[in-house]
Parts: sequence; structure tokens; C-alpha cells
Amino acid sequence: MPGPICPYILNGEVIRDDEPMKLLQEAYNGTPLEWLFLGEFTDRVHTFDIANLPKKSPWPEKEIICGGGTSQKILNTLITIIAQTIECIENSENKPHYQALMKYFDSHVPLMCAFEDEMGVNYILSDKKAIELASAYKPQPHESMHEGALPDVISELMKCTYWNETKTKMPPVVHLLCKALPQRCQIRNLREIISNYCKQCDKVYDFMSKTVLCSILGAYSHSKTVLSWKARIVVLRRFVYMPPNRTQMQVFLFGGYQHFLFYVIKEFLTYAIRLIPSLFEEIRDTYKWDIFEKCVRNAMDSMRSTLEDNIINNNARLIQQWLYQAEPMLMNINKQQLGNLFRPQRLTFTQTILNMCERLDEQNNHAKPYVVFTRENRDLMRLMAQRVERRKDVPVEWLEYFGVKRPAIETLQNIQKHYHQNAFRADVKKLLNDITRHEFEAIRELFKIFWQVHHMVRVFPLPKHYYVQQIRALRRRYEIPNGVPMGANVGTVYACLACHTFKAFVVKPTDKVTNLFANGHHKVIIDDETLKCYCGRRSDQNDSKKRPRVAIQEFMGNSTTETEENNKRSRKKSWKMRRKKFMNDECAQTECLKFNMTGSLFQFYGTLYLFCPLCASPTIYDPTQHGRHGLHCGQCMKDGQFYTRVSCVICGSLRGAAKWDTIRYMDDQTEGSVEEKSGVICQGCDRPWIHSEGAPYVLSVLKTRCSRL
Amino acid sequence: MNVTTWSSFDAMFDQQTQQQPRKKRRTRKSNKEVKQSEKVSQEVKTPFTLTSLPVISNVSEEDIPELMQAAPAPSEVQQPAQVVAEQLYFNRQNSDFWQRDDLSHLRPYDFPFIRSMVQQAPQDTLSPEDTRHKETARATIEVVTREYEERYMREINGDERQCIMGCNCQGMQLPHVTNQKFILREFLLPSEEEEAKRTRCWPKEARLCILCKRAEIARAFINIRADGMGVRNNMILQDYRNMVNIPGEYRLEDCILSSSAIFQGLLDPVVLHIKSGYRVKVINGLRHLEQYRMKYPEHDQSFRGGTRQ
Repeated sequence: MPGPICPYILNGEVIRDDEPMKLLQEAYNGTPLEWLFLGEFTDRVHTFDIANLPKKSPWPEKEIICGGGTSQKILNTLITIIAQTIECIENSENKPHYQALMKYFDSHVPLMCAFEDEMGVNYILSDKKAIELASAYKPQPHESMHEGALPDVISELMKCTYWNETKTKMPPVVHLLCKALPQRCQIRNLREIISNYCKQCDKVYDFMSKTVLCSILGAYSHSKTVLSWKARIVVLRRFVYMPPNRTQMQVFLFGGYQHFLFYVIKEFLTYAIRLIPSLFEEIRDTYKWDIFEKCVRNAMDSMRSTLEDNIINNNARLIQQWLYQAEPMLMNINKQQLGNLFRPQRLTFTQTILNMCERLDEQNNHAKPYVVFTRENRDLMRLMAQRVERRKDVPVEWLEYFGVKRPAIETLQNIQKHYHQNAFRADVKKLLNDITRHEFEAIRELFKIFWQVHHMVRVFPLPKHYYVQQIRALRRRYEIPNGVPMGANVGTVYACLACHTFKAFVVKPTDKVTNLFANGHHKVIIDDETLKCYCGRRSDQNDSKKRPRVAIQEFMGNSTTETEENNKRSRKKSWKMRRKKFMNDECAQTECLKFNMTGSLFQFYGTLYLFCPLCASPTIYDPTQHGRHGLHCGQCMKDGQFYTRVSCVICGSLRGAAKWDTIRYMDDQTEGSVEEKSGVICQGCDRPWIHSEGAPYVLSVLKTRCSRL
Repeated sequence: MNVTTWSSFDAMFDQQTQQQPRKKRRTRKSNKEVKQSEKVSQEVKTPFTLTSLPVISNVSEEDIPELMQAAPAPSEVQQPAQVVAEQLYFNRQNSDFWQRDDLSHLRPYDFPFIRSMVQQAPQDTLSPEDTRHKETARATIEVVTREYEERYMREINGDERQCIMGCNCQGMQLPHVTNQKFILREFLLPSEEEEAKRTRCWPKEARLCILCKRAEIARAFINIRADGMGVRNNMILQDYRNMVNIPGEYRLEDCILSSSAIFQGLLDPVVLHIKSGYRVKVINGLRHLEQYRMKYPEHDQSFRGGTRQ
């Protein structure tokens, strides 16, 4: 469970300057009310002067009968504290210490409830019980609910998808936070999502419970409307003194009230985002954050007013009754915000064009991707794209050099310029349908090349420390002594630009320990004459998404629509198969991209590749792999030792990632005294008796017996 | 455009250019013949006669042909249709290439724009095949320990300089600190600090404090993330790096790094600046910030040393 964001006191040390007792002491210093904020509750009981006891007190509503002097003193102290605090609250509205007074009051509510209940059950408050309850529910103002006491999920804010990022699987809390962002279509299924997460994930449950309480009480520093002391007693009795269990919370709150919960998370966001100034600065403009913040805070103030009204005037005692009318009100507010919501565009213009071209090819049954557009032109386009500065738009005017007519180019240019404002898909589809095959292929290729060169295939020089480490690792891997120049092929890798495969033997941190010793390239074809390298990958001919349609058809019979549907599906499947075949041919005819990856970070179709700085295996860049050894492939080290260096103490063979066992033995083969050591034994040399009694054995004995056996 | 056509065209063109008139070998026989003919010419002298006299005429400004416009041959009489066709042809040649109607007879390579473009060096980061790892200038990223950073999380003392952000320093913007706000001292990298100690003078330009530096790196990083295209050119945002998952250092969760799919300018961990992560402590009369929120890795139960098994 995450700790609090910024508590008042942590491990006995004050963290915040706005600690309630400190603020109140400063505010009431030298006044008759000063005693309220000095020392702890016990001290106040001891120093209590009966003359201060008010004749008429707002609490308790029903008289509490005490069984002795001690309990009477404790009760009188509490009554006086409550009466005077309420007086302070009523006189301090809009003062800086108003929130602190509320927190001070909140801290006494559980003890008040405990006394009331004791009276309700036993009809008397005995001395013993009064002392017990006073120590169990000891008022601690710094522990009252406030924004800094909420679970610390601030770092998780960095994982949210604010912009046009592709959504990947994210932790539940992050998912909820993303949902509360002012984007379009976020509320969909929110109730089910919150309900499920609260059932399954403790972190989410803790987060939701605390943020709900914080929002209801108005404990955020930005809250303009906070619950009155009367309403606070009702809420704190239900949430703090006798908190509902998880199932009850699920039924009472998390199973419904979608808009209320939606706004609770939003209110948390308005507080939390500002704690990361860099993030706040960036999203302030993108999301019209000031408007969002103002709207959410006003909405929650209105919600608190409604809640107050329900509790005080309508005598609501159940959570459902508290929130009566709050949900529709928040729904209305939410609808009014549609114009201010950010609309992320997950697909770029280029991606949309490429998808459209693919679909048109499928509709027109064009399985062969390149019919008239020559490889020479494609290569030229790539060379050109490599020579212009990175840009978001594609230079459509280049198409003129590749035989595309002027009107088509102008139309495309116009669409590209205004695609953010207009619905452009129909226009693009019409354009792509009307042009010749040569033009179609030229347009598709230009967008494809730009997407590839400017987004998907890039290379970045690594910093000096990685470069030096990589050179060392490569020398060790290929046994090149220092001072001897490395061969031209050391560090060379291949990648196929047609099927987007990286050809080196990649060691991944999540995989099994493999390829640690392997050098080479997988699925490549070498031309014997030119020694050029081509991709040898053949994609599977079988459709992996085959569904058992036949069996269902037998039962359902063949209607016309079903036949059409089946025909459509079979056509699509056939097209896909033929397209795959052509793509395989294309792959075999495309020369692989060859380059030296030493000292480089290679960005290739959504993956970053580099040589592991420790073992020089080609690996992927995984930020989670930063550890005590720096960045590495996650496979080459175990207990600070290279896998590649591990050898069996008996046969001496390098074991690498193979399974081994550790034994203790007496080393008699090094000069000097015989000492006990720990070493590795391979499965080939391992015998049961080695681990039996009598161990550790002398190394020479082990070697002799194992070899003889 | 048909490649074979162009291949044959090139071949034909090349053949034409290669067919130079062969020099005749000088043989003794031919020399003798030449000598004999010279002798004959010297012997028989005939008078020189002109078939036509040269015509002298004044050329006015109007008669000077336009650039690339064919001057009419004096001897030939042209048909009007031919004149129009020729004029159209040359006018098209004179016009800008994007204004011509039909360019299908041209290879892309024949456009001057493309030719000059392809002759240029490729853009940084866009051409892996042109990468030369030995010649590349590389960034130096210094290692900074937690202890070193914490030495700089305090107010100035003596001749030390404040953060260059002045009153906008992040030290002044902590929401939970009201009375004890202060501007931090400038943060020097270990090499800079060493240099300052050696030369006994501070760097010429004042630096950011460690909090502002963290915030600025994070701002640049988030800006790149928002753009969605990765870093524009070859650049690394950080000039220092923190160590993670080592006892006494930071946890990886408290740091920011590039995503695994796209390079966003941060290869090594740098602590993310969060306003709620610090508290003020007075040590020897100087206000310090303590990073109470940044746990030590050894205190984290889920810590597994960064190595997955």
C-alpha cells in the first residue's frame, strides 16, 4: 500500500508547516481559547477548569450519565472542547485557520460517537470505560483526513496517457486516473470498472475510500464549501468511527454513483497534477486545465452543499440518502463540459492513409502490393525521406516527380492541411478510388516511407559510458585483445524493412536464458555472387484466427445473408493468403538494412535495440532493467557473475545458462593450504553421493571418482 | 516510367558519345601519299573563286533570339505549325518544372531538385546505414550519487551562489512549506565542482539548483512525450544520471526514463521532481531539504536488485 502523499507528521517529525495544532496555537495564542490547542487531550482533561463548562452545549443531543468523577471530568472536558471549537468555527469562516479548526473538530468526533454509543448500550459511562475509550479514540488532529493523507499515487500520474499515445495495459489506479482526465468518452463503463477494481485491488479500494471521504468532507485546501460540524459528525460516524467493510462499501458506494465517483477522482487529479510542475505546465494548455479545474471544484462544492442539505434538513442517515440528487446534478454538469474536452487522435494522418490503402486493396482484391511502382522509385523515395528534416506532415508535392497528376496532389495536400478540423476519410477514399494504380502505389509508398524513416527506423548515438562498455563487452565476447583493431563485422546487424524483423539473436529480459553465446543473424539469405543479405522470413500460410464456422452452419442452416457473410469471409481470407505470399516474395527481394550497431540505440518498429553493455548480446532497451549493474539485458548476470564465465569445477566446461548446482568442496589443487570453497557443478558431473554425508570432498577425489564413473 | 526504356536510352546515348572518330594510323605509305599530294598542289596553282559574297546586315534588339528559343534558320522556310510546336516546347523547358503538365517522360532522378537532394548527407538519426560509430561525438553523462545531490539541497553559505531561477526556484514553490521557504544553491556536476575547487572560482554562468534541474529535465521529457514523435534530432536531455536499486541510492520508481518503444531523450534514470517530496530541516543553522518521500531501495520490500531471474 502506498503511504500518504504529504502527512502532517511522519515518524514524529513535522513535515508540513500547516499542521493544524501549530496553526491554531499561533492563531489563538494569548486568547482564552488557547488551552484548546496546547498539549494533548489527556493534558486538557487534567488542566480542565469546571468553570469553563458551558451551560448550554451543542453536544451531546442526549444526556450522557457518568458513573464516576473521572468519567464526568473527561466528558465535561470533551463537551467544553466541542462547544468552544464550534464557536471558533462559526467565528472563523474565510480565515486561514478555518480548515485547521475543522481538522481539530474531526479528530474529536470518534470519541464523541464512542461516548454516545456507550450511553446507548449501557445507559451509563463508567470511569473505566471512559478512560478506555479516551485512549482508544484519542483525538489526534494531525491524523484527520486532509489532502496530504491520501494515498501517494503521484508517481503513477506519469504513467497516464495524456496525449495521442497508444494505450497499453496499465495498473488499475493508473487506468482510473486516466479515466478522470478531461478527454472524450471517458465515463463509459466507469461504474463497472471501479466496482471490479475495488473488488480485486486493495490499492484501488484504499485510494477510492480515502478520496471519497476527502471529497465529501471538503478536506482539500481548494474546497470553498465544507460540511458543517453537524454533518461532519454524521459522515465521520459512518466512515471513520464505524467504517463499513469492503462488501458494504461495494454495495453502498462503488456499485453505483458513477458520476459522483467520476468527479471524486477528478477532484483528486486537480490537486495531484500540480504536485508535478513539469507535467502540469505541459497539460495546462492541452487540456484547458484551468477551466477543467474550476468546473470540477465548483461541481464538488455544489455536491457538498447538496449533501449538507440532505443530512441536516432531510435527516439523511444512509449513504444513498446523502447522495440523493447529487448524481443527476453532476451528470448535468458533466454534459455541459463536452466542448472543453480534449480529443486524442490515436492514429496519425499517415497511419489512416496506410490503413485505407490496405482496405482498398482488399476490397479491390489486389493481392500484389506493387504492380507498377518500381523498386528504383521506392529506393529513391527512401533516400529522399532520409534527407529532409523530421516533420509531421508528408511532402505530398514530391509525388509529382513520381508521375502523380497535379489535381490528385493538390487534393491530398488540402486534406492533409485540414485533417484536424474536417472529416477527411470519405474524401481520401474517393481520391484513392479515382486515381490510377501507379498513382495509388506512389501515394501509399510515400506515406509508408515517411512513416518508416521518420518514425519507425531511427538510430541514436549512445552516451560515452555505454559506448565504452559496449566496446569492452564486444572485445570480451569475440576475444579481441585490447589494441587489436576490431573487425568490420563486429557489431554489424541486419534488419528487414519489408517485414520489419530485426535479424540479430536478441536476448530479452523476460525470456528464458537463451542465445547468450550465439552470434549471427536469423532467417537471412545470402546471395552467393554479390554477398548481399536478404530476408529469408516466411510468414505462416495458415490463418491463425480460424473459427469453427462449419459446425455452427450445420445447425443453423444457410440463409442468404449467412452465405454472403461466408463468401465475404472466405474472399478476405483468400486475399490475405495471397497478400502474404507476395509479401514473402517482396521480403526475399529486399536487401536487408545493414549497419554497425556499436554505440547506437536502434529504434525499429516500436522497439529499442542495443548491445548489452555487459555481455554485448543484442538486446532490447527496457527501462526496468536499470539496476545495481546499470542497464543490461537482464540475463547475463547472476549474483554479480557473468553466466558466460560460469564453469563446472570438475569438468571445467562452460555452463552458461544451463542448469547447475552449487557444491562445497575442499580445494587441494591450488598451492598453499587446502581450503573449503563453493563452486558450480554441471548436471553431467553431478552425482547423488556428492551431496550426501561426508561432504565436502577434496576436489581431486571428486575429479577422479566422477571421471571413473 | 519504364526502366528498360531508360536503360536502352542510356545505352544508346552512351554508345553515341563513345563513338569518337578514330584517328588514322600514320603509316609510311600514307605519309608518302600526303607528301606526293602536297607536291602536286604546289605544282598546280589555280585561282580562288567565291560562290557567294558575304551579306552584311545590322542586327536590332528585336532580332536577338530569346533564351533557348530557336533562331530561325536563314535558309529554311518553317511551317507555322512547326513554329508553334517548337515555341511550346521551349517555353515548357523555360517554365518551372512544377508548372509543366506532363512529366511522365522524365525519371525522378532527372529533376534537379531530387538530384541535389540525394547528393546531400542524410539527416541525423534517420539513416542507420550511414552511422559511423567511431566518428560520432558522444554525450558525457556524469554519475551523481544521492549523497552528492543532498549536499546541494540547502540554502547558500558564504560565497556560494543561488539557483539561477531566483525567486522562481522550485525551493520557493513547495506548497506545504510556508514560513521556511528558501532558494537553493546552484547545483554543480562533480566535474564542475572539482574544477571550481581547483581554480577557486565558480563557473562563469550560474547554474540551476538540483530541484529546478530535475524539473527542467522532466519538463523537456514530458514535452517530447506529448509530441509523440520521440526526440527530433540526436540529443540527450540529461547531463547527469542517478543510480538506482543500490543501497543508499534511489528507487527506479521515483525516476523517469524513456519508454521502451520510442526514444524520448532519457537513457539513464533521473529523479522526478515532485513538490510534496521534501521537508525542511535546519542543520547547523542552515536550512536543508530532506527527500523524505524518496525511499531507499533497501527499505522497499519488493526490491529485487533490478535483475529478473
